[in-house]
Amino acid sequence: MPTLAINGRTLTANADATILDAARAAGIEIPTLCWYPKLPIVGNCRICLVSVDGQPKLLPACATKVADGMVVTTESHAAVENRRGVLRLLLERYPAEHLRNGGRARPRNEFEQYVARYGVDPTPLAGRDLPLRSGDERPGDPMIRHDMSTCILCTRCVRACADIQVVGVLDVAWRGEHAEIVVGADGDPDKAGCTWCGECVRVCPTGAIFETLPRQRFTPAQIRSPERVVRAVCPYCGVGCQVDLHVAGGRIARVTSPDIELDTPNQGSTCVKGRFGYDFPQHQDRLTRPLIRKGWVKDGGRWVWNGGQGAERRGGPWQTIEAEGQRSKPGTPPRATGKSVRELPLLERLDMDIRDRVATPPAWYEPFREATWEEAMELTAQELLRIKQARGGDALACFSSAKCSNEENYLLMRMFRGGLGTNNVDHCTRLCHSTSVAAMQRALSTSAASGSMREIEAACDVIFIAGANTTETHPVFGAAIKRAHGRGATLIVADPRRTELAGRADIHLQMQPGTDVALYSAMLQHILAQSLENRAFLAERTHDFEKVRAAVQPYTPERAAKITGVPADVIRRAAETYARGPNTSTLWAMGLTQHANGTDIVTSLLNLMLACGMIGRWGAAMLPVRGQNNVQGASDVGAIPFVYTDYRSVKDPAIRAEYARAWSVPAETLSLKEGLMVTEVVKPESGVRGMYIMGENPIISDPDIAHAEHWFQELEFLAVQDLFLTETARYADVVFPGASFAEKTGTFVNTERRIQLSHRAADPPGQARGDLEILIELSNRLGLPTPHQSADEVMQEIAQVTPSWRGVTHSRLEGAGLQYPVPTADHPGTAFLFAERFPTADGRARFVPVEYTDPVELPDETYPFVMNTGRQLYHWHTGTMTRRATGLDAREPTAIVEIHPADAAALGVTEGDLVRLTSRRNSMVTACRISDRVARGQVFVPFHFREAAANLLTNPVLDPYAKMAELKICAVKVEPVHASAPVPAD
Amino acid sequence: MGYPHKPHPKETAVLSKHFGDAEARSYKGWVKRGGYEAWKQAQAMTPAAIIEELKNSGLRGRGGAGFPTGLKWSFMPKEKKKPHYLCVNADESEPGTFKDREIMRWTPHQLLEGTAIAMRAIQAEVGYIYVRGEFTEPFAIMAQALDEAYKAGILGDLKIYLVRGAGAYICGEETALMNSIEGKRGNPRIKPPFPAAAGVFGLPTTINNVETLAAVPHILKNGAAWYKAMCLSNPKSTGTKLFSVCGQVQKPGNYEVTMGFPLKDLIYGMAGGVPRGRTLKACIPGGSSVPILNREETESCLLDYEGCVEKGTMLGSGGVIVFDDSADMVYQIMRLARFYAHESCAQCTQCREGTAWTTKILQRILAGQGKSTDLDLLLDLSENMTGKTICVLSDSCAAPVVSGIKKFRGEFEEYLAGRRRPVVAA
Repeated sequence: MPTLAINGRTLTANADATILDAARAAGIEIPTLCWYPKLPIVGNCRICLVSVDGQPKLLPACATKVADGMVVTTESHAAVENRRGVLRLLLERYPAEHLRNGGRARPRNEFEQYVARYGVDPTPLAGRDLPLRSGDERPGDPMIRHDMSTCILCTRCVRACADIQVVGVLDVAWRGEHAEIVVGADGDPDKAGCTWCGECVRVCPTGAIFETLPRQRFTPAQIRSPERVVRAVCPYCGVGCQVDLHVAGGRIARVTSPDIELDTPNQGSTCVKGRFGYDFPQHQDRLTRPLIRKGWVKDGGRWVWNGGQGAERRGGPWQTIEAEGQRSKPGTPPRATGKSVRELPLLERLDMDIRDRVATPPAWYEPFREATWEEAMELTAQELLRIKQARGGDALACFSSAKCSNEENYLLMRMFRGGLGTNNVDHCTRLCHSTSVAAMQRALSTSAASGSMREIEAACDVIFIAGANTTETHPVFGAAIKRAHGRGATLIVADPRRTELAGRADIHLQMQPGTDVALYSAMLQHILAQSLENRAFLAERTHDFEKVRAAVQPYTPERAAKITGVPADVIRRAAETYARGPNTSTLWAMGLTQHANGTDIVTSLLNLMLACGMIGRWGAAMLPVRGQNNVQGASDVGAIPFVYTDYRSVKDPAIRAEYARAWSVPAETLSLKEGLMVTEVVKPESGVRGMYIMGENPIISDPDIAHAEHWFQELEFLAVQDLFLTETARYADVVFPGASFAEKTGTFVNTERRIQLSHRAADPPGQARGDLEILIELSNRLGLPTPHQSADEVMQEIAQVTPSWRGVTHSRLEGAGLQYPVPTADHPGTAFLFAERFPTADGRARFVPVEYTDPVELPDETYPFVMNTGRQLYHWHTGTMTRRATGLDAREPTAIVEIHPADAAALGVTEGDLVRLTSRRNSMVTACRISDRVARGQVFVPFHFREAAANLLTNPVLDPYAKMAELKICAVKVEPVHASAPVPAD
Repeated sequence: MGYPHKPHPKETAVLSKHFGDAEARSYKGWVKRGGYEAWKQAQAMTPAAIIEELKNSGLRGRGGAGFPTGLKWSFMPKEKKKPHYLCVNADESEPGTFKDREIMRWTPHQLLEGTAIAMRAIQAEVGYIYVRGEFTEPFAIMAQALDEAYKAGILGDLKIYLVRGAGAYICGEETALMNSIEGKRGNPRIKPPFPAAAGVFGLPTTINNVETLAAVPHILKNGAAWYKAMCLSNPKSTGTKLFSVCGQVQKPGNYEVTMGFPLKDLIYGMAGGVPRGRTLKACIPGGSSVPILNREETESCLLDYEGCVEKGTMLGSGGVIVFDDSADMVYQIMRLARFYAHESCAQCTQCREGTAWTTKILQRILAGQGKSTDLDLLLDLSENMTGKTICVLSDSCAAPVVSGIKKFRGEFEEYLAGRRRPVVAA
């Protein structure tokens, strides 16, 4: 470790540290403009030059490595003169009138702070020899705009875009004094591949690149000095980015991301949703008072239903989702303009108030009346208890929420188990990674990722991604994968679609949808044929491998090539690369799980992984990439039908006794019978007559919506707790207005088992309440003692009943959070699992042989296309939040279907044309997006849009183990809806 | 020889011996003139022995910096763990310099032979000859020569590629040239790491000027002692050097002389002096990037690395630009500054803004709108632009400005005082 002196202080630094690193570590500030944490060093601003004894010239602190005996002076006369010179040169082209004389007291940004500190006086504008700088300005952009007159060409934005997000939209064009930042080749961010992540906004030191929305809605003073800045966890995907919410006037003015925190999942980055999708909590549609369906009246101290019966019972003047799918909605894409939907001028879209288009239609409120909390609580408690008494606890069910905190999920689960005596508790994990959990439980007795996201970037040699469109669905993690690929890791992607990562991949296994088992079995067969399996691992850490060896024998690459459509040679190459590693990480998501044989598919992938021993080492991670920001946590705290917290079985009386004690209820109150899963509840034979739904929208997210909608209409009682009057809430008897992520304190678990704390930034609007508050009161009304006052107290109880969370407290979660298991109060958390044993009874992993079966519904003459569903970059699930986020909705305002150019040509449709998609179950109309991301014979429909709901068409057939629906595959036909043919009206 | 003029008796034609001799361009013609003998000789030598010979010869880089060539080659890793590269800097763009162009035009095999020897010395398997984009004819000649050499099988398994620049002066800077070869924007890189550690594609690289490599075969063939003996003044500067004389002289052209030759004799003797009736006013001896000499300095300057430094300037690339008494030095300096402002890659603040600002101030002075503070501002700016940036382009812009103001201050002041008619529009 070299020892050097900086400003007279003796320091030791790492051999590869720069002078700047050493100074920063010692708290000595050296001015920097082009330098930024994690960006490649270019040393072009020249403001960090320092004097080093014995050197004839000043040296750049950011780019000069320390050496033993070096003597550095950071504020020498020469260094200061140089800094003043640099600032003066930059000021010559900077609109700095306000900085002259008195203005110096109010520097607006990093650059101006230096100007003030070094006392440089700008030339008056009129006397300038050089013009203000220019550059591409992104006019009309809904999220990011530029004022390039304040650009100082530090190129942070260029490097942030190219090296952190690995997108490369921005660059420096021209040279000399004409140099300027440009957006792509022609100024159009869309054509340049911009993902609107806002990394450029984050790193800009002068505000030349800024967010559009805050400037439209808040004063400069409010933006500059917010009332408070609160650390929260992004409410979208499972990466769990930490963000800072800036609050002004009780509203979120903007979102920034903390600069350097080495262990946070995002390390300062966000994606477009995290940075710009924050204004939905302020949307006009927010529910501010409890609602009760008209027809409920109080008579003699009891609530009675006095309204219509049968279909009218839950009717309204609104259309069902099914009916909406039959007609063209206001806001469907303009047609026959010859332009793509995305090419429409953004300004135009901003000028019309987008919110009106996605707003809850006024008609939806008509069946309801505003109520007091007392009324709503009383009615809900009465009806839940009535149904329990009349039909038993199992006639009730609740859907918990992967968008709510651990504490809230725990309390809801506690309320249903302890207060109502049923295990009918589930949430959207059923439609997410339930098959992964089933397969992982079967093989490894685990339910979560084995490793961490950061090891992909740091230590992984081969990245195998199956059925995960990571750059759109988990963009921050996607960028880390791209960086890992850039540093030399090999990328293998198995996906029927040519996603961004598939396009970049070294090997893309573009198979027919649903043929995964054949593909992974063939890879394993080839590995065994080449003797590339990890024999030591197989012998010491697993059993039953011989069964799998026999089972994969018939799956030669040639046979798999016939089934999957992937050439045998490519399968062989992928297999060898996977097995040779040395460290291969295995990632998967919905592309594997959302199948009727999802458990088998994941099992076949686990077999491949275990045979090669690619688990239990740093760099060889098993990562089922989680969708929602708390889908892991909601499962961990027991919001699934078979287990309490920590996946402890509800069938075990000893475990039951433990929870009964913790909840102060008699043990018999708690049911020993496993509950029903989401997809089982929504069936006539489930026997469920009353429901409580917290923050979920099954009417858009469940398969075969029309049937689901019908089922919800038949319920005796439905209470919904949500931010908005969602498609599901429309059917409710009682609607509780809840709180958004920004309006509550709670913890969330990301995809790498990291428990993170999110703080309350603002108050819920009107009479809306925190979800925790609602659940505490309701629990007490149901007779379940719930003395908790805060999320912190709830976490204390969770820690008490959850062995692997025993060391977790809110105060320990400040900062980067903790990766569980955290068994004790001083345990530092666990970055990766299974280094020595698996949590199975004998510590060994189990191999389970699986066989390939065809997808349930294959294309035929009538329904010739395979429809795949999924997400888009700019939208989130059922669109409840993102379609009310101004910036996001401006990017993707309309429902679309992706269709291959050749198929489109055969159908005679072009970009933006309307087509009718029909499956064996239903049909709906949506607009075409021509894209070769989908293969021929396949179409892709995002499921965010209620006016063209993908799940009208999907197949509700279920996986036998996890009851997952076959959301990824159904056969459809596609027909053009010609302008001449009238679109069916209401 | 003084192509396009007749050879001057005082010239020492080594590199330029066959300038004007079209037959020397062809492979056959070159072999007939003793070509590729040195290469055959080198193939029998160890890389270390070649480097040793070069070190003994005293050959120094002819691109401008004058770094000892043998020493530079010895920086390459001795034990080869990664591929090595040689880059040949044929991006000759320095205003006033046109020697490499003539080497490539007339004796392409001379360069190829030097390149091959250098590649053997540094154990490179790939060599890139980066030719200035505007050099269409030299490029075509080089391409043909390379083709012939491969057809003759003389280069063995060496891979030599010709790369064309796209018109950026800065790509003559060694690290910018490497970025350009890699297909990136031609921005100079921060050093260290130096090219021998991480050059083109991040691998060990040596980069040499065309003239430097052209001298290498002669050194091997005739011996280091022979080369070292060619020295008229300081023993640290040996061999011959091509000087491109241009500006207000009667016979502009390339002249090859022994190191230490008097600048006065080059201008008056070989180049025929300034036009009749005029007197010499100033001279830039080493291409546009070096400080300007006044008449007295010019007439006493010896042309070698040390002789030029003694006069406060540099030998540079050997582009001798001569001004007679009709020259407007303010205008000439503005033209130089404008060139650098146009060619700045725009990375470093001082260079991007400084070169442009310097130009604007000079133009303002020439337009009769100068301010009394402008000369101080120019000197202040130049101070800011010297020794503070990644490469030396901004230093190069400052050098003529500072020396010009120092030596011809009177001319500036005439503009400032309104005693000269403005020559550019405001």
